[in-house]
Amino acid sequence: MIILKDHFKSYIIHISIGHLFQKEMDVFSILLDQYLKASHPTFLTRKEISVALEDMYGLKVSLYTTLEGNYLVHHLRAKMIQPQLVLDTQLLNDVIDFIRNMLFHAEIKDEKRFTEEKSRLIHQYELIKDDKQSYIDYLYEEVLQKKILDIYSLDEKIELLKKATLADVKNYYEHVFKTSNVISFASGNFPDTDIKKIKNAFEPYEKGMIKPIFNTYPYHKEEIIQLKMPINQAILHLGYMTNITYKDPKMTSLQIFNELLGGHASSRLFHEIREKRGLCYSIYSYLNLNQGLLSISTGVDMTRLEETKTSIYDVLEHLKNHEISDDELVQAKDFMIHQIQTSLDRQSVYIQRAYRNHIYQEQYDLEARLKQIEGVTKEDIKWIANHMTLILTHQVIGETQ
Amino acid sequence: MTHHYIKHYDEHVYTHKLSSGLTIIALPKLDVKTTYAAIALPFGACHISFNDGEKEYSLPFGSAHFFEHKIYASKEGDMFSKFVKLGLDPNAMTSYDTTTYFFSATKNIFEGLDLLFETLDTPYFTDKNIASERKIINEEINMDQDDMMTSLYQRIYENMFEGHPIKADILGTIESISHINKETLHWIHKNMYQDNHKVLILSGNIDLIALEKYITQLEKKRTKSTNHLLFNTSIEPFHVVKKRDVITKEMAISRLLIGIKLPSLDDELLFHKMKHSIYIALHTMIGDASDIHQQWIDQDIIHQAVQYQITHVKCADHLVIQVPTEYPEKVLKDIEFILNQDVKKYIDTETFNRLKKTVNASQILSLDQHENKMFQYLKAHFKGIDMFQIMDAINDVNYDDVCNYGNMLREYPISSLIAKKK
Repeated sequence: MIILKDHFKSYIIHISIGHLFQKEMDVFSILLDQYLKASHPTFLTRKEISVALEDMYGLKVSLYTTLEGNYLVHHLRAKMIQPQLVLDTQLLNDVIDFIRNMLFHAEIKDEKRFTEEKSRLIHQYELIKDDKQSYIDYLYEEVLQKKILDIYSLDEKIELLKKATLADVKNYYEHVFKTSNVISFASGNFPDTDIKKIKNAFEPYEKGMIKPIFNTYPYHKEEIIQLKMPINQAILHLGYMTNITYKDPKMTSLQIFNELLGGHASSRLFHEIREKRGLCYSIYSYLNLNQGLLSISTGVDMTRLEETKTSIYDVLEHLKNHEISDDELVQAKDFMIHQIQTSLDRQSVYIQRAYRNHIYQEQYDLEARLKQIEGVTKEDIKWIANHMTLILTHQVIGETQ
Repeated sequence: MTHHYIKHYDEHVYTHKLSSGLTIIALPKLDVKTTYAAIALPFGACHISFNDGEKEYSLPFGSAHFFEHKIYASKEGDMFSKFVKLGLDPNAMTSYDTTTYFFSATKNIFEGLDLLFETLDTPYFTDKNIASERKIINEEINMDQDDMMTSLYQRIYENMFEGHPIKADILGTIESISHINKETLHWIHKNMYQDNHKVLILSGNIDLIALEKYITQLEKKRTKSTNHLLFNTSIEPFHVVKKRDVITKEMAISRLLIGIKLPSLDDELLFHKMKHSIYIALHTMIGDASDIHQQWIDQDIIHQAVQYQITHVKCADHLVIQVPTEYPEKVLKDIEFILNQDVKKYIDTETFNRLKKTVNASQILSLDQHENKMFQYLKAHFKGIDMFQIMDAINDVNYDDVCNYGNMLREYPISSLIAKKK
């Protein structure tokens, strides 16, 4: 177990459970998280669970999954108030029991609860469609991911969720989840006695270690998708394959490139497309370092969609063919350093760092990281610009267009 | 600077007022790395009508937000990039009653403050840059209109409010902002952006000795404010325009929105007592631990928790309850029935004491969020109190308050909106 001492008023206990990603297990893993949140071996009803959480001073428990290379990882994160601040000597014991039983001693047998949670999940997916911007983002990510990974689409997921049974989830829990790799973390301003309690509670469950592998995707033909929806703005996404993933020596250069291109309110895209040409309100770029993808996203006036695309291509062409200025490079680096330093004030980031250190077997060293950033050159930026391939243009326009 | 130590929360507050009228507030915490800084004004989207004792003035809807965008223009280009060059992360936001310009920093804090003052002191408005900004904000408005919940909120506000500017979106409309020109923006700058309206606030990692020195220099630089413009208060009758509304929309799941107008209380602390009492009452009556919530789930009527939010705007305080459901008529009927019952049927003192534990803990934990603390402190300051008084008022909420304020909900004007999927 990894214990981190900090200055916050809360404790976070975080447990990560990872196994190799298998497409056919995807829906069961989502359903399991949902079921575990809503059922607990110690409490009979959902109301009893809510009352228990309130009794633990509003303990916040979240369960979610992430992809790490070729692994799927379940995470449980529990955030509680520091017991000393509320003078409650029993609180930590109660929280430990609650989490331990919820995660490792679940009883997957309540058909009614399972059906309720399945409906809730299907509704959550349906609700995505009502938030047009999020829905379009989701559709874009889905098409982009499908080019690389064998995954289900939103509609396929909904159909599979409808078909999934309690027995499927129980089987997944018993034979996949419970046999997976487990690592636990805790962060807080702990006295020694609390560290001992937490370690004693969770260390016995720890086993194995995930070792993510990142694939490269050498060639992709550009795909153009145009959809029509009842919207006022055209929403444009461009997806580029960089083939630079976590652990790649060029990762920091790519991160600086992303900052410079569309990572902040003074970036090339923001300046050229929004400020200079007034084509949009929002434009930004972002990275997916699991698959080595860079995306550009913007919402524009329908009548100026083609002009926007041409302007974005111009920005990228310029970066391919011209060296950036010293000022611009320093600015991008400073902005990234600022983000890193600011993140150190968030307790959840402590856990994220520890988690990454663990799965990638590295020791996070802030000074070394800052040196890596400082070491990125103008040539590195130009190299990145010249080695990305446009693999997806995804545009959604209004139905009357 | 005047120092206050709030022992109960282990928090320090330093305040100072320059002769120019500028208020300075510092909320230091030495164990964090980031400093958050802001200059804020009690001027927001709802402030569209003014007087100077003799003459009346009015602004188009969306003016405060338009100004917030355009003040970052300068002769040399965009001021935003100057912040980024200093390694700072700048941003700005306009709410119904305030405008805030802020940045986060891990270095160059005082250079950032100088830049923030320079940005707000030196407007650069031209016909060309205003026309260009209008295009950008038009796209922001289009983006907003594509958000289904924003359009439903606008609809229920139209049904709830007769003439209050809250009916108009913070951004204004494409039509209203077409009337904003150089003169509008210069008028705002001259009358609103004076030091006697401004508050400079810092939160997080603050070097207090350096701040003292900075304040001494600032005292020499700042000019005393001369304007005495008054905001006209929007008189809003205590009834709703439309009690029931049903619309059909392209949506995946139908929705129910219930808007309840709340009384405007002169005592700010009393408002917060009311707000949190209502939250606790609603949690027990229709929240995810309530009996009706379980019934709705059992009957496949809802699949998500009921959401409720109280918004605090002068003369337009209100509560909106929102439920995604395929049975909005049934849920409306149930909620109306419950709101007409005695709250004591739903909450006993044991439940109340349990909920108080969560409220108190969340208050303590909120002090770890230094950016949020800065915004909360500002919000309270503009209402004439300090954030810790509000925290005390919330901690003082008792069982009788929850029952009394909860029971009063049935007396207030109510408007419901059923949005059915096509």
